[in-house]
Formats: sequence, C-alpha cells, structure tokens
Amino acid sequence: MDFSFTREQLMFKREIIRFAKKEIVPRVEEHELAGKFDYESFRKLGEFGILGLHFPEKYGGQGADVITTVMAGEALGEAGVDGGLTLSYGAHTFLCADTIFQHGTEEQRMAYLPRLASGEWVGCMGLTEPDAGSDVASMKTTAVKKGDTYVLNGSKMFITNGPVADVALIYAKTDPEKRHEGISAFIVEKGTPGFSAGQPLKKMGCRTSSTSELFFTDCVIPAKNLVGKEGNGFLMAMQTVEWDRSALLAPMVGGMKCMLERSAEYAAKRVQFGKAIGEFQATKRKLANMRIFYEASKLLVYRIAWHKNQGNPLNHLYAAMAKLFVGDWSLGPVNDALLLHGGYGYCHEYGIERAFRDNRLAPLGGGTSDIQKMIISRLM
Amino acid sequence: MDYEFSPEELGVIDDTGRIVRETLSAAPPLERLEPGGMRDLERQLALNLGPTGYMEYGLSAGKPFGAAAMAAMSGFAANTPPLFIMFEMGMRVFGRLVAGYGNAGQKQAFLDPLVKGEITAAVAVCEKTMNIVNDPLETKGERDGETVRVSGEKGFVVSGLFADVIAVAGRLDDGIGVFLIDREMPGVKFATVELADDYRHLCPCKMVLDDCVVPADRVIGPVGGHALLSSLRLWEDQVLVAAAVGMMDAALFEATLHAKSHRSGGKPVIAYQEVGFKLAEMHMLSETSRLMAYKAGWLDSKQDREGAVFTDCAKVFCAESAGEVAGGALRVLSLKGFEPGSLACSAYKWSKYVQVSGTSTEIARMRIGDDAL
Repeated sequence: MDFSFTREQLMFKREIIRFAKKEIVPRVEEHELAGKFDYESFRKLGEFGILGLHFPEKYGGQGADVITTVMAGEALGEAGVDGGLTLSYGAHTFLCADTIFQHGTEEQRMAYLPRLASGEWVGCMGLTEPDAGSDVASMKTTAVKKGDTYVLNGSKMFITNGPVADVALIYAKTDPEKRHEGISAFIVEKGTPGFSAGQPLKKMGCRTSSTSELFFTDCVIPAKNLVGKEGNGFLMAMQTVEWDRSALLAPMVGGMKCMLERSAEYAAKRVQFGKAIGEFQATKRKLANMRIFYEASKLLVYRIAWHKNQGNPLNHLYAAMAKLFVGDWSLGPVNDALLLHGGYGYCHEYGIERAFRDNRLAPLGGGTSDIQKMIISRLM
Repeated sequence: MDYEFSPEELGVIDDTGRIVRETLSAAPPLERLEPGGMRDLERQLALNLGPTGYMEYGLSAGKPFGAAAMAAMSGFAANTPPLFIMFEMGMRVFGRLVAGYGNAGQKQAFLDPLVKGEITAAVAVCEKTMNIVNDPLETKGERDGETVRVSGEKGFVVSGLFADVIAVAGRLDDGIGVFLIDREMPGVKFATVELADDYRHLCPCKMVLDDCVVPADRVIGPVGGHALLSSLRLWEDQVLVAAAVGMMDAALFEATLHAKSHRSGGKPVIAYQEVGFKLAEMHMLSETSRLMAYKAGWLDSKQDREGAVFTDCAKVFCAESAGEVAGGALRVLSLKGFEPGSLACSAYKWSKYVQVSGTSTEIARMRIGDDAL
C-alpha cells in the first residue's frame, strides 16, 4: 500500500489553492449573500483548466489522471471556495460533460466539450423529478421518437445549474413500460422550444449554485442528441457515481481542512478568561474531531479515485461508504467549527455559518444517507 | 498511491489468521490457563507464526512495519483480542525496542529467540507520574562501574506475570534508558494486578525494583529527549489500533451472520431497516477504521513526521468505532450476544480497554488539538 501523492500532484494542488484564494474566495461572500451564480469565478475555473481537467487536450482538457482531478476538488475546498461553486463545478464537469465524454459520439464531444471545459458554456444534468428522487426508475419524463427527432415531455427537479445552463444532459424514459432499462440520455440546448427552467430555488445552503426545476413541453430535439444507446441511460447515470463519490466529495474533504485551519487560527487568537481559547481542552477536542474527520474521509474518497484511476470496476460498497461517511459524519465537526467560533461563527463574515449550511446538503444530494445504508446492507 | 497489498503481503495476512486459529483450537480455552499456560501459548504462537514472516514486521531490517503488518495484526486480533494484546505488547513492542534502539549484541541476544518463541517478553513503562504532560519517570538507573542500579515502581505491565525478560524504562544519565531485566534478577518483585472479568488474561503485574543490579550489556540508551518514550507509545498505540480493527471485524461478522440467518416475521432480520441500516453503519465504521490503521502503519514505514499525530487520529477513531460496532453487534444479536464465546461480547469488553490503554482517546484528542494549534 502507498498513500502518497506525487510531487507534481502536490505542486499542482498548491497552485490551485493559491489561485483559488486569490481569484475565487474574495468573491464568495458577495455572491453567497445575493444567492447568485458567479459566472466570472466559474469562467476563471475554466481558464485555469479545472473544468475539463481530465479530458484529453483535443476536447479542451489537460489530460489529468483521476487522482489529480479529485485533488483539484479537494484543493478548492481547502482554499475556502464555497460549496455552491464546487457543487456547480461538479454537476457541470462530472455529471454533464463527463457523460458526453464517456458515451457521446465524436461529433457530440467536439461540439460540447471544448465549450464546457473552458467555462464558456455551463452544463447541467437532469435526473431527479418531483416524484422520482432516490427511486429513479419511477421517472415520468418521456422521450418519444418521431422520425429524426425525439419529443420530450415532463419535468426535472432540484437541478444544479438549471437556471444558468447552456446545455443539459437529460434522462427520460424512451420505454415507459420498463423501469431502469427504459431510461435514455439526451442533450438539450438552452433555447430549444419547449424547454425552460424555473426560477432559482431558495435554498438553505450552496446558494451560489443556481438550482431549479426544468420543464419539457413537446420539446423537440434532433435524434442525434441521444447520448449512447436507447435504454442505457440508467447505466450511464450510475457510471457517474465514481466521480460523484470522489471528485464531488473531495471539496467537502478539503473544506474540512479549511474549517480546521480557520478554527485553529481563531482559537489561537481569541482570548477568554485570560488565555487563548485554544488552551481549553474543550476547544482542542473540537479541533481534533475536525482533523479526524478530514483524515478518514480523505482515505475513503481517494480509494474510489485510485480504483477508478486503475480502471477497476466500481466497488459499490466502497462508494456507498464514502458517501455515507462524508454525508453523516461531517455534520458533527462542522458544527464543532461553528460552536468554536461562538457568535462570530453565527455571523456571515467568518464563512463558518455558510459552510455549516452548505454542508447540510452532504447527506441528501447525490443519494441520501439512507440509500447508502440500503446499498451497504444489501451488499453485506 | 496504491490501495492494494502485494500477493506476498496477502499471503502473510492470510497465513497469520489461519495459524492463529489453528493454534488456538489446539490449546485449552484462555479461561483455564494460568500465567504459565499463557506463556506456553505465547511461545507456541511465536513459533508457529515464525515461518509466515509475521514476527519480522518492525523487527527485521528488511521488513519495516507498515500497512501489511497492521492488516496481519488485525487478523490475529479478530480471533482473540486479549491474547493478541498481550502478545503484541510484549513480543512486538519489546522486539521493536531492541531492533530500533538496541546494540548489535542485544539484537543478537534477544531478537532471534523472540521470533522463535524461545523467550517471552514484556515492556514496563507505566508509572503513576505518567499523565498528559508526561512528568519525568521516577524509575531511575544509577551507574555503578560496569552495572546500573535500578530503582522504581512500574504500575501495569502486560504479561508481566510470566515474561522471561522485561524492558523497564527509566531515567539514566541525562536521558531515558531501558533496562532489560531477567525475571529472576535480585531486587525485582512482582505483584499481581487484580482485574475484573476477562481482563485478567493480560496477566498484568506491578513491578518494584529496589537497587536491582543490571549489567551494562542489558542497558539500552540513554536516549535524549522524548524519542524513546514516544516510540514506545507509538508502537503500543499501533497494536491497539490493530486490535480495534480486528475486534470490529469479529463483532460485525457474528452480527451479520445472525442477521442473515435469524428470521422474524417471515424474513431474515437483516431485511428490516432498523437492523440492516445499523449493520451498514457498523460496516462503514469498520472499513474506515481499517484504512486509518493501514495508513498509520504505512506512515511508520516511511518514518513520516506526520505518523505520530495520524496515529493519534487512528487511535481515537478506531477505538471509539470499535465500541460503536461492538455495541451495535450486541443489539443485533440480542441475547445471543451474551452467550459464552460471543465475539461481539468480547469485542465490546475489549473495545473499552483499547480506548483507555496506551494513549487514551482523551489524551490523543488533546495531542491532535495541540498539533492543529
């Protein structure tokens, strides 16, 4: 076993942290308070190469390996980038663009990936529906083939980047009689007649990622916009799980390091009863809980990344464990960070209450903790 | 980065678990063994495990301690937490002490007999002065020509009731020395430490050294600063981390087997979310603990300066998770968990020992907090 990173990977991580602290983090508070997606930061991520890091150069990427790609997400979190922007980045790069990269035709790749990798376009992915969350197979959105077109009808719910996306990867039933085997994936561009996005939802956290419902009313798209084969949609969606359990969790891992560093800095300076609060054992205990979570979650997340990098098939047990751990066990340490900062933590300026709110999505988004427990118990 | 073991390492890991099971099945139950019987069993285990290479981890220059050592150790611990803790606290920690700090003569005199099961060993560090800030040891050696006269008291020496040789830590000159004391040396007295329940299987004792004359070739060090004591504490904690992972495996195995076979309301109880989800959480904790243990071992093999604080993290997480997992297993097993021989029941008891032994989880958290500051 070897838990080390290469020198190049570590140098790259430092570069991303430096870049994010300078270019992104100063913009977080303004956009978070306004609850607005930050186009400029998003495009800066694209300019730096983060949005298409693992794609080959001909598609506008950097050809990075999986470990480096996951590390980029960790670095963003560690720098203090908010959960909203990292969520937008995750949905854009791994749920939308990567599916086109993995399953799309060469024409589709060339048409969309360079623009998605640069940040010129924003991508989203639509799977969840108002009445189909964890039970994906019960989705009601349909895609009916008519000549050289498909006609989409239905709606999608809780779609990250929905209101700002230029292109959407949409899952719909091409055979409503079937469950998982009846699902297919399609590319739908913004402006397509019959396709619209709802108003951004007012959320508890991750407010800089714009989230909305998507509507399809007799939305006609070219048949060539089918991604992969009919009926393979569910499998394609499941293949994003590897990224979902590594690259999308990585910012939360890095985010805990950020919380730890900020908390330690605050605890060293804040004086009560004549001494720095860091000297109190109750404070040290909170810092320890943050560090322990950081170390444990990092191991789980990079295990998924390492296996993917090796080309090994997804280990669903490992994936569910990583998601469950990061989702459920991060809540305590983030709460510790808030408590440690006292009233200042409750105010916006320190970024702690924002992290606390952002983190509440962890046990919900991308498969709830209960679903992860169901998966694990079935595999035992 | 590599999250897998080599085929050779997997061989050692598999062989260790098998040999421990075979050795235990050929031995009387621990309940029936007096200290002499425990000594014989420990020697037999060392002898049987010798060919696998298990004993060489951290003792042989060509086989550093590492993730594979932690995996093999947890496989041993899953079979018998008390015997594992006793064996490792004595044999491994003593061996690593000699291998790491001893001179060539000491290595020759002790390491080979230890690996072959010809001698049993213990390590005596604990004193009443030891606390979070580690006040200076009161046990002290005074040079007297070619010998060192050692006086002091040691409070809780695991396998001290039978060990042939005991490594006693104490002050020497301006540093910390270790005195390798034979059981029969004049000036040494042993007293039983009474413990409740299965904890007596550790065969612990108190030691009183009163002007005990130790030949110079039986003295390790002195070593300046905290290095030697820190090493001893780190090695002890690694043993306890591996023990925690092993006992979680055992408890989870027993609970899962029961949940799949025991039917209620016409279906196996694992099909109920209250049971299935509980097992899922336990599984997650045990797997995460395993990775923490492996990384702690790996950092040791790299002599990484992060190793100490990471091991503290692993100690806290694994020890507390062991309590959670064993407690959850008992709830799944219901009264079956209280039957004689229950792995979950044993894990529950020993998880509490693992939490307080070595660096207690409370002290470990303080050290992690200090590191963050």
